[in-house]
Amino acid sequence: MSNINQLFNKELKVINMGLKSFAEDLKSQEVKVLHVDWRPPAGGNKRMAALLAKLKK
Amino acid sequence: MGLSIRVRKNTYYDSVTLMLISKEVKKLEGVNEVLVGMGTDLNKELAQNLGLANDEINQLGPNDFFISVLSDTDDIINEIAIRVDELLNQKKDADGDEYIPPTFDSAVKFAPDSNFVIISLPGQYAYAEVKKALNNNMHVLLFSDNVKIEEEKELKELAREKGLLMMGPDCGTAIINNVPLAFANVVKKGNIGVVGASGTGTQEVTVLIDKLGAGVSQVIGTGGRDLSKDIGGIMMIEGIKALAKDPNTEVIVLISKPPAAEIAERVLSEAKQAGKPFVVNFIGGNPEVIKQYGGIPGVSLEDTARKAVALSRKETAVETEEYGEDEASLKEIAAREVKKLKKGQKYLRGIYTGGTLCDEAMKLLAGEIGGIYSNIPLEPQYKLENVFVSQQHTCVDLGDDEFTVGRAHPMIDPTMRQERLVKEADDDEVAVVLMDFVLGYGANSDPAGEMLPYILKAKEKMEAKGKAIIFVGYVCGTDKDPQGLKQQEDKLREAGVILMPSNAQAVKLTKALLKAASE
Amino acid sequence: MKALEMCINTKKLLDSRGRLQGYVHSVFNRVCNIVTKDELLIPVISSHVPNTPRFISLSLPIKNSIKSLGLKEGMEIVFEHNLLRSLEGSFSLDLSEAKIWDARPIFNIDGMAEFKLLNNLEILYKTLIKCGKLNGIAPICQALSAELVSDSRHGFQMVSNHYSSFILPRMGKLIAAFKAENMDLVRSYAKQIVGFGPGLTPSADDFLTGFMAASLYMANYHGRPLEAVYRLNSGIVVEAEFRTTKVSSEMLTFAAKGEVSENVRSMLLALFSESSEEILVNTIHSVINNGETSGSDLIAGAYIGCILSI
Repeated sequence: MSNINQLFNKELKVINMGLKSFAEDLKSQEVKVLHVDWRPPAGGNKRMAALLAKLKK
Repeated sequence: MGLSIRVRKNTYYDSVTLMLISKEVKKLEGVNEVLVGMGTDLNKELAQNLGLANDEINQLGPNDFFISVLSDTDDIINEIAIRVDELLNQKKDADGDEYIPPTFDSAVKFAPDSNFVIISLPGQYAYAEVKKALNNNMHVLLFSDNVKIEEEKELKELAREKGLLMMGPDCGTAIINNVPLAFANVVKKGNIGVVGASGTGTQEVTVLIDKLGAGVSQVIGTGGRDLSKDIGGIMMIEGIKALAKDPNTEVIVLISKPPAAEIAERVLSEAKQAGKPFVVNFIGGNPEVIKQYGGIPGVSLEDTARKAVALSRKETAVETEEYGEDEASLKEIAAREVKKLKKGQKYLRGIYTGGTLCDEAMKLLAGEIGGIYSNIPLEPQYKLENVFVSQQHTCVDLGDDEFTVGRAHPMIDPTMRQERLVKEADDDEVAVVLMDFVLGYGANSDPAGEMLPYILKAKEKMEAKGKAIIFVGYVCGTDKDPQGLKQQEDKLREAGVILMPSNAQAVKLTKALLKAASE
Repeated sequence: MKALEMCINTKKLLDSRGRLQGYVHSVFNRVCNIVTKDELLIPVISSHVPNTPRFISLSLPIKNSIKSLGLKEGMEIVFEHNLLRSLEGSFSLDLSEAKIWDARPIFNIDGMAEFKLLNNLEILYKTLIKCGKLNGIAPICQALSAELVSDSRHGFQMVSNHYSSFILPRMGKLIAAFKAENMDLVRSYAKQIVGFGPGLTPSADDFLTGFMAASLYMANYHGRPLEAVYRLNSGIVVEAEFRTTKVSSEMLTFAAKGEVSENVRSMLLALFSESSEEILVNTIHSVINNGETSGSDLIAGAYIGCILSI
């Protein structure tokens, strides 16, 4: 059986990343959901990273 | 008018809390103005300007927190005070009692048996997170848009290889194991399986299936670009395969804007192989190809739902557009309503929140009332010069990018439509305003209630000029949706909006009205 | 527990004083603000939050909020012998192995073509409109920029609100005075702006923070003397201490010297260096996520600070 068909027979257990309301909606329907407090990765290119590293010393 | 003021000396709330409180209090009935902030001199000055200050506020220092509310009547002040305290305390209590992981990896460590991931991050970050999810053997609903097409292709190929769902990008709706995900309605369980590349199109079909007394097994979204040449219908094909093998699915429904010819054939041949009866709505696409592959074409979204329901009951799917009110009674309604109009009132203003519903309206009206201006016109010469200003017959999709920069989708935040509606009433030639109200999870908690005051305002504006305006509406929702279909419909009816049981029928009535108005 | 990192300003302050006393001013999930007896603010932050001037960071177990460490508002705090501890003894943080972070602006950036900078500024503006939170005072940057570069942007509509319409004319005056380098006017207009708006760091202060820091980077880009900008910035923050919240007045004082949070600095560096569009957009998003409207208000200010001298 494909993974998709297996999913059709299972309880949904959800990880939510982004809009919190999607997690709240699921929670209100008693679906298992874990919301991730996602933040964008710290930006910077290699040269900048090197610069910062130098300053940190 | 009364002032309600809450002060907490030397107390600090983070700005997220402050914004939440401000929003919640604004929602309370009878509240006119709300100001939330720290007691700096300038904030006190603003409070003074807005009539929100008193001695208590004037004596605050910059490290004191205040909330000041101006309301219609004195007797609701207590209620406001209670609500504010509730929110402040609730927010404090809610901190830290529940685990909120900061990354996908930590979420997986905490809940290793998760099998599904919903991602609505800004588009440029989505790719990396989807890839992680798929590599952890989890199915994905990717709500985000602005994902590059190469990335979509790579992710869908990876999903196919692993036998996983990768619904999206820009997938607005899905119902898996009868759980509505993202923007979706609460629909009865049944034997109709749906694969849809169009969000509101899919919502409309599933809602109508429910209204006709049938139900759905699985509703798989693919995102709007799945049937493009670049992607080649990967997810629709995988979806069909899964529904073919699913014992609970007896009828398959496919929904998409007209795909490229070769992709259409690939998808249809997969549907044929599934060996189950299937109904296809390639919104405005060529019905002959569908018939060649043994499928049944749906003319409108309603027609698609009706045919699917007939098949699910082992009945024949009849070719007829004659449902709902018949021509004669539509004419009767039209004649009655049009009497209220004045000479020269002849134009339609469709202000939609659902893109596919707007598109369907234009297609069903095409050729009947002449060209329709739009931000998503059927023909390029009818592209609105300025999308914020209607002209002649106009139908706009307010959920389109041009309208949503810097704000939420109009199904969530109705401000844009509220303003637009009142503006339409400035035009003396407007006769009919057509609107959709989409219910379900993800949508605004009271779409009808949000529009009511503006419907009345537009009416008053017209009446002041000795004219009238006819409102036609359609509520896309079920009685099990959190907003409640009946409650929403009652509100609109009370305000004089003529409601029809589907988008297609609302359009049909509109057609009759416009015809009568031009006679 | 051990501190991970601290700002060079914190290090210098502790080294020069030997012993410092203070109290817990406010505690949030990821930040605990400590105020010393002489009214200096030292934020103790989770390492998930961007570094900020005069911070100390610690690594929190992912399930815990800083509150779970037993820190409570009003609690007395002592710094001595490389140790931060609560007087009653429930909390202590070892600073001896903390890495040092330098908050100062980074000016040794390779030059870049002006068209590239303009392009970056356009990205900044568009990202703000598309993804920013516009319910603080960020919408004023539309009207301000229209005045400064006489471009009328259509298609986009930033919807104004109480806060933005109140502060727009005043901000316009301040910026004109700043441009004319009229110190007296800068001082007097700033007094009518600092401390305005929602938030623990009021919106107007976030805007000015971005504005002052960006003005410095812009002067550096053009090779103009920085002293003039430092002087004008000091005029903006001159009485901030009495006009806004504790947290905010410290933020402004640092920003006048070009010292800002790590992610804001990264954004400014990306703006002024030949980095890819993707990096720039990432850094902008990171700043947008500061607070509720704080990040967006700051970006609006930074944008105006840049186009002011184009």
